[in-house]
Amino acid sequence: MFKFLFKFLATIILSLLLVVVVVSCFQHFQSRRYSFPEPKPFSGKYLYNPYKDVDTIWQKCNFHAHANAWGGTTDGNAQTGKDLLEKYCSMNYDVACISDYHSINPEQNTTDSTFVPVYEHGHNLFKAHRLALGSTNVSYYDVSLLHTLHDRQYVIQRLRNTSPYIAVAHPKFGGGHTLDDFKWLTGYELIEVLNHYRLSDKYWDIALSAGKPVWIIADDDCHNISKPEETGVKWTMVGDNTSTGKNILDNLVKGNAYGVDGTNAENDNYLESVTTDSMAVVVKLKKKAKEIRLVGQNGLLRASILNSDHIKYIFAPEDTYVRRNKKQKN
Amino acid sequence: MYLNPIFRYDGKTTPQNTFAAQYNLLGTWLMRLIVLNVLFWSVAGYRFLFRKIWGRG
Repeated sequence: MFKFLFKFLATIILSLLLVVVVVSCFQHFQSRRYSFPEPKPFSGKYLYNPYKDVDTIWQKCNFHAHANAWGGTTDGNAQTGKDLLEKYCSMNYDVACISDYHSINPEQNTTDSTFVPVYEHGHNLFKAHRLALGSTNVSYYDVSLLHTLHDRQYVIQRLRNTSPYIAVAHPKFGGGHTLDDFKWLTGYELIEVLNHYRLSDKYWDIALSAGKPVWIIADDDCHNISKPEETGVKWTMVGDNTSTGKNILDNLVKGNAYGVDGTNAENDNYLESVTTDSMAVVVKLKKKAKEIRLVGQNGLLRASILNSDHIKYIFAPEDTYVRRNKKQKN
Repeated sequence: MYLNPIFRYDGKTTPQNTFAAQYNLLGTWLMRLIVLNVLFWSVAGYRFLFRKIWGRG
C-alpha cells in the first residue's frame, strides 16, 4: 500500500512538472528574438518641455490598485471594488482606477466620464508586470519562467494589440526587470517610478540616459485600503481641463503630469510651473522646498538649491536632459 | 515630487518611445529549435521516469 502511494505521488509530481514545462515551452515558442537599436542619448539644439502647453487643472489620479478578483485568489481580496472606489473618492481623487490582474474590474462605472480601463498584466516569476491603460480587451499571454529581455520586449509588443498605452509597473520590485533592460526596451510610454513597494527612479534614469522619452506614472498599487502605508501615498497629477478618461490618458502619455509621494493623500507642496527659454529651464513650486534637486544624464546631480520655491538651470553642452528628483521630504 | 524630464531634441518631431526593436528571424527560430529540443527531452524523460516508477520496461 505504502509503495503504491509513493508511486502515485511521484507520478503526480512528475506530471505537474511536465505540465509546467509544456506550458512554458508553448509560451517560449511564441516569443521572439530582437535586434535592439543602440541607445542614443537625447540630442539637439532645442529643449522639449512637456509642461509647455499643459492644462491648468491638475487631476489627482491613481491608476494602480487591487480589489477582489478571480474568486479571491489574488492579492487584493480584502476589499471589493466598491470599497476601494469609495475610499479613493473620500480622499478626493479625481481618477481612481482598479487594476486587477488580467481583469478589468466590472464594479467600475464605465459610463463615468473619468473612467479609465486598466489592468495589471503579468503572471511570471519575479514580477515583470505592466499596466495596460485604456484597454478594450485583456491579453493573457506572458512568458512565466526564464523570461529574458527579448521575451519582455515581445510581451510589450503583444500588449500593444489591445492596449493603446503601456506602463512598466514597479520595475524595481521583485527583480523582474534589470537596470540594463531600460537601455533597450522600447514601445512603452510610461514607467511607474513611484509605487508604495519601491522607488524606481534609477530605472527611469537608465531609460532617459539611453534617449527613451518615457514619462512618469506614480501609483499606490494598493492591495488593502485599511493599510495607510499603501493608501494615498503615491499618486500622479495630470494636467487636464476636460476631466474625461481619454483626455487624461492622452495628457499622461504626453508627459503633462508629475508624481507625488505624500501621506493620507496629502502633500504640502505642488508644482506651479516649468518653463523653458532657449536653453534655460525654470521650475517653480507652490511653496518653498527644503531642497530642489535637478538630475541629468546617468542620474547625476546637475543643480540643487536649498529653501527656495524655484530653481533656474541653463543646459550645459554635455546635458541631455534634466528632471526634478526628490531627496528630502518637501 | 518627481517631474518629467526636459530634454534636448531637434525642435520638430514630438519625441516618442516608439517600438524600435527589429525582429530577428534567425534568432527566433534558433530559440524555437531549442524550445522544441527541451520539449522533446522533457517528454522523453517523463516517459522514462514513468516507466521506471511503475516498473514497465
